[in-house]
Amino acid sequence: MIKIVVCLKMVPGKLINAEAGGLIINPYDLFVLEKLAELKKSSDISVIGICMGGESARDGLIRSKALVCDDIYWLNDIKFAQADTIATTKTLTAAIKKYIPDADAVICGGHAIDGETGQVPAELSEKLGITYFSSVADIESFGNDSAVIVRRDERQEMTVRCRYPFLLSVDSFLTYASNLNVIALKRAQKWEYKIISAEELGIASTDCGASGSKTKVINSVNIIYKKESIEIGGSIKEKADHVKKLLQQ
Amino acid sequence: MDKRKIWVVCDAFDHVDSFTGQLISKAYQLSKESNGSVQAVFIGNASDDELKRCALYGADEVVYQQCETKDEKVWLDILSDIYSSIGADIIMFTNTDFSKTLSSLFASRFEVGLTADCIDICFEEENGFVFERAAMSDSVQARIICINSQCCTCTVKKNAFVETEINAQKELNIRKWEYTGSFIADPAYEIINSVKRVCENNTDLDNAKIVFGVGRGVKDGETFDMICQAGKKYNAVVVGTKCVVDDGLLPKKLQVGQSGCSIAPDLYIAFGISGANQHLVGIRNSRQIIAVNNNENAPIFNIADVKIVADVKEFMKEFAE
Amino acid sequence: MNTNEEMQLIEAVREFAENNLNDPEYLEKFSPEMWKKIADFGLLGITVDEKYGGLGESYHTAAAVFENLGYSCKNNGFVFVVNNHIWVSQNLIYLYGSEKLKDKYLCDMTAGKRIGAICITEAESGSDALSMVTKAEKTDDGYILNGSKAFISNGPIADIFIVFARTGEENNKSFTAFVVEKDFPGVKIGADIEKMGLGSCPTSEIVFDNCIIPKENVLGRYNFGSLIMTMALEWERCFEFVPHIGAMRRVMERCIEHVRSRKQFGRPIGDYQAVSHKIADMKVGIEMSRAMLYRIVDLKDNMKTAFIDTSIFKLYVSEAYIKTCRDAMQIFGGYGYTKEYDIERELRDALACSIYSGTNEMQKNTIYNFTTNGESL
Repeated sequence: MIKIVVCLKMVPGKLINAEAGGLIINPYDLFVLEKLAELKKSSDISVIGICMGGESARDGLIRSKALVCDDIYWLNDIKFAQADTIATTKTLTAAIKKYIPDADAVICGGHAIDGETGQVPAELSEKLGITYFSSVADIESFGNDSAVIVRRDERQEMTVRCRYPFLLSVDSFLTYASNLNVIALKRAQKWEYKIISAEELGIASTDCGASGSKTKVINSVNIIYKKESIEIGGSIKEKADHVKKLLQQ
Repeated sequence: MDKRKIWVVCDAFDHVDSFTGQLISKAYQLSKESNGSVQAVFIGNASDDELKRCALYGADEVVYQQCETKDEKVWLDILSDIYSSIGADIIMFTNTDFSKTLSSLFASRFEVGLTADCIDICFEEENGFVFERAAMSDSVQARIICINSQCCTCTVKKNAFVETEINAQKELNIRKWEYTGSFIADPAYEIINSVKRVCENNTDLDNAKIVFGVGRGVKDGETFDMICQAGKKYNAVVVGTKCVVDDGLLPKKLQVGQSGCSIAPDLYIAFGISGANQHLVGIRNSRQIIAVNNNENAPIFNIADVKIVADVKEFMKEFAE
Repeated sequence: MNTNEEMQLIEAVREFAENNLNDPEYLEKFSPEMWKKIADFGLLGITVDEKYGGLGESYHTAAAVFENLGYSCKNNGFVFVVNNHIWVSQNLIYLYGSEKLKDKYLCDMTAGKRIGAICITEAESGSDALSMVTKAEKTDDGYILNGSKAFISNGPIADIFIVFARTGEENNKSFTAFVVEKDFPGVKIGADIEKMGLGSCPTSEIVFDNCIIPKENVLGRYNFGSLIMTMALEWERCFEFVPHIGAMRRVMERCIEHVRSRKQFGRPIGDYQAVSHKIADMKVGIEMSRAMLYRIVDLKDNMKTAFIDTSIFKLYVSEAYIKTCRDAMQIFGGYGYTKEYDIERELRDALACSIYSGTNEMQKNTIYNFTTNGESL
């Protein structure tokens, strides 16, 4: 049985649907879950989800469980909050080392759509001491001692066989997972999600949350150009001319 | 007080490219603000003459390690070796995929602060080095400092800084580093198959500067043709939403959103696209988004920079003039 | 009010429908792939117990789910197929069948491996259902069925038919409901009948020519088929019409979008009361239907009868649904009449609902009889 850890992040639903409230599974993580759900049908894999998040992450965790996760570790503690990438990495590392030290593969979405930096996967691989593969476009199969993945960058697309253990950073995303079925969803709703506190994890407060962070936002400024959408009025001709002007630039 | 060490990690392997030049120029500026000195850390395979070009942008010293491979793990070990010996106060990396990985591995190893995709850096007495980045989701620009951190690191966005040759003649010291560790990349993988991605004119989405998107609001062949013609005129790639591809107007490889394909052109114009979830994720990173739709409440207007409420067909008639 | 779990279920159903059930190529043609997808999605056994592969949900939840299914899936014919399968075939076996019958058929039906249909109507007996001539005669090991049924929805694709036939040796005034498999000797399925709308629900005649039925395949009690028929009609009048509420919402939303952007005489046409009042009517229709619906499922969840409530519900919803689609076409004007805008298909699909599940005229008879002779509420 190949043990696969998936790092999950929940992000605001309104980032992809203005009317949605609440949190959804980060689309890059959803691609991973869906892919694993497909592969699980024909391979002997066990999928363990790890998520750092508060109560609002529950709905997303239920979906993750329904889709493919055999087990879920929910790192939910105010002490984990406001973590930068280094603190996040250290928290995830502690959890993986404690609960799934024999993981064959750790898979992360390449970045989170709520403005994440895309740094955690590489940082995590360094802390766990396992090989890192970035720009993963697809996962083809899991074998006994290695897996086959597809990496894609600007210049080429490579099919690679990677020996366990390794960490993947995946660059494909999905906003809908077709392997979700309602019977699994109902079961997932009834499941008990164990919440892991900082104390239970056994992590020092200097290693997580704001105190474990190496960067800090000192202030933020609203930028004017994005989001405040300028509406072009006038006749259709005037609108067309405006766009033509923008194109010349 | 010792001069602050400002490092620029050069990743172009065999030459000093303009991205590196941009970083060194900024490092030079910062060195004046912070009483620092600029080290260009160059790993790869370049001649002395090429390395000397770092002086043009203001570097005080080049630390050069000859290396035949461009592998993140190998470079990490080399960089760690140099850092452990001579240290740095601030290290600037480019934000290429390679350097993004390299900087993340480095920051994790030494547990130092790392700020991604900086668009500006300055030095303040009370705060030290302050990094500015734009958070993608919010319309917010954040100012970030490093805390409890031996050194500050960052990746810098391309063209955030300007390549500027300095006026003075700089005396440049080239320090050849002698790394004694292994140069052999980790053999934990095997490439089974490798296919070069063909950069066809007009169908290379990743490098397209201008992209036109066609959605369900483009109701007939005539309008579609006008958009394609305009695309040719402005050298724009024409892509479509899932509906349009399902209807057979465009091939699947030009479907943006559903297939997980995301693009980041300088300019994206959405014609008759309402803005369903998948499509928005695919186009968010575009520098500027113009949306043309006859429904003023279409969700795409939530992320568009320029909003044009108009019937697409009528608009194209004027536009095509 | 929907609970958190219900909301999650509804969201999953909406996403599923939007992504899988709106294939433009199959809007008026049955797609076996689509059927397999909804079966795999696990929705078919929504109110059936988990031990038969179902979800074990309440009727309240089922109502919320199916209203949203009707909203997100614009393939009205496909929703009709699903409804016929669940409420008047699979669920009849679940609620009124013997253990033997349940063990024989339910798991396959909740898994979508076998599709169900119901056979009441005949060429000469529509509203006058009890004048049907299809007959079943007792034999040593079962029954022999003879007759033919007309306009059977799901006919061409079904594997399991709930067939009503005359039985009772003495006076032939009784009826019995039978579970008939497609592969029983003597079952002949007619050709697809082309209809005005609901194109993705295949419909045909079914002929039973000395069809042999095993003894155990009586649904409910022998000679007590009219009881089953009454229940079947009650379920059909309710759940067949639940998705129509969602459809009304969908059509109304399209109208709202249109009246905001379409301008005539310098103003959006939504400014004109002749137009806006039609939309107000649509909203009233939706909310009144919902109020009635939740009253009904509340009764059903408490195992009470809702015979007259469902008759009123059916009558009201069908009239509101047809009116909504008819008004939508008027609002869209010339565009509404074109195929491209799809409004005309919504109207064609809607027009059947004053006919099936008992014509609206029959509903009024039922309601009158109840009001004047039976208990008043």
